[in-house]
Amino acid sequence: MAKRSVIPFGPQHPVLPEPIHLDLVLEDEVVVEAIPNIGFVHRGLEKLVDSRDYKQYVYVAERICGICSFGHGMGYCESVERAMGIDIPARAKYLRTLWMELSRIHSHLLWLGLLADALGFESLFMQSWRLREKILDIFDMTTGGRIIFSVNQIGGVLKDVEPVMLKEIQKTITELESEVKPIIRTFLEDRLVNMRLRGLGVLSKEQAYTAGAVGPMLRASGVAYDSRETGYAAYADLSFGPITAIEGDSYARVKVRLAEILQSFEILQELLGKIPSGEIAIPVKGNPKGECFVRIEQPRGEAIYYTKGNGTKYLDRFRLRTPTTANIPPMLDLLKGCQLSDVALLILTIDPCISCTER
Amino acid sequence: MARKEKLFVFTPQILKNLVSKPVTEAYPFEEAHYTDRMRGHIEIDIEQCISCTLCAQNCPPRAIKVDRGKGTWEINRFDCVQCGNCVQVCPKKCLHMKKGYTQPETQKSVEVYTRTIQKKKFPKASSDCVYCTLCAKKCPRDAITVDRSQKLWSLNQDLCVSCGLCAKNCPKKCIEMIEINDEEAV
Repeated sequence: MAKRSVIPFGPQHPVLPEPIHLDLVLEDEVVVEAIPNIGFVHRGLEKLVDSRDYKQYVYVAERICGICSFGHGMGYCESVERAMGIDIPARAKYLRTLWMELSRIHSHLLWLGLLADALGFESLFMQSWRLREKILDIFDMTTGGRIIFSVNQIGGVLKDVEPVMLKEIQKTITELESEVKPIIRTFLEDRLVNMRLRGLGVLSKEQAYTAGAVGPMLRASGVAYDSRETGYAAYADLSFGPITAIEGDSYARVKVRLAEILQSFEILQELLGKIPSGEIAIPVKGNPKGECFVRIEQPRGEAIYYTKGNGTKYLDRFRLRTPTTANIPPMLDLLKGCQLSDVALLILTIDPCISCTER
Repeated sequence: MARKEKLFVFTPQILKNLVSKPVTEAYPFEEAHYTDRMRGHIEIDIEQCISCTLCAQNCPPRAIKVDRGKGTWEINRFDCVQCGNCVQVCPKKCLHMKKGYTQPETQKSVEVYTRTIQKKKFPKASSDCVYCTLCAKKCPRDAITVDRSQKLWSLNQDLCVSCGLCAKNCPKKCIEMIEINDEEAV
């Protein structure tokens, strides 16, 4: 048996945008075990429900992470609204869905750029982020922020999207649909990308299911599960289905995310045709009492929001289980048996978001 | 398995990008463009302010401090996260979210605004009151209690912030804002 050695990976590593530490146990060049260590960016945001009232906490919730920002705000609002038995106006539901789907496109484009960067494909990385810039401009125009929107409130949304803006959004996404094609073709057909990703880190359907993988990671292994089908916001009115692949390797994970970008464009086109007019928020009086548990499909996978109110303006508990938390155990499965040089790429394929995970 | 693997798939896009214009603004060399809804910084119309402290209480990062005695309104620009919650809760609508960022600084500082101190006014309902409870519903501090069956209208002066929303929203226009004695004035 070859001599075992331990190599520390992270928390500062060129491929990682955020800090996660792994102790890699190696036999020659092959990883036999990976021991994760997180907690470098813990900020104690869940604890803040004790000192910020439930309406103010929306702004804290959306600052948990920069990329899934809108989803966190929306998930928190949905759970409080359900606990209080509030039914928000239809237009608010559609607007939330609009911003959520745009967030999904921007998150996936960001991830594709990071992956291209890890592969050493600089021009593809720049092109992905160049397209993402257009989505950020839409956010800037409609909400006033490029990353953090601050448009959610308990009972609806704060800002309306005017018809002129809706037309502008429709124009931009139609343009983007054709502009994103060269990127998709490159990721799927380019020989260099194929050589790096095909057959790398295969996660079988059973493994994915038992280890509790979520989101594109789960769907790339062949499990057709998408929590958007639970019908929160306006998703119940829209037609879509989970996108799956059967291979379960890194290439399949790229393929699923690329297909999800195109699916989001379709959902947006349908949504823009259906969006009702009317109120965007209803006044909320009183304090939440009772508990509620909501599942939301974030770009990275299923996130769970739990709130417990006690009848005062401060909540008893807010709990968030993020997709990356669920995807770390399957990631450790993937790392067993892989080459040391593939570790960085494999960590990237789960689309890790550490600041969400540690809150 | 037949795979469609090619070389130079991305080259046409690279060539296209070579001759197209950059998508971002070269900011320090040309003027930055901001959208109308941009959440840049908070501005206050200090003479409209009544030191009700609602903005300070509802500020998630606690960047705003209000001193009712001195009539000052302070903001720590480094703590402010531009969420706009203070603008939402301000009953006098004297806070505004403006586009454009504030100047960077080398030291953390607090901006202080001082208003001209006026005598505090409290609402008082006259005998025309029909106990419709609209004033109680509009009160941001829940300082007004209206009991329709007992025909009682009462005010908790400790909670009242003299915003005047009750008087503004009264359908019978029976609420008047009345000054209190000098020794009690703040």
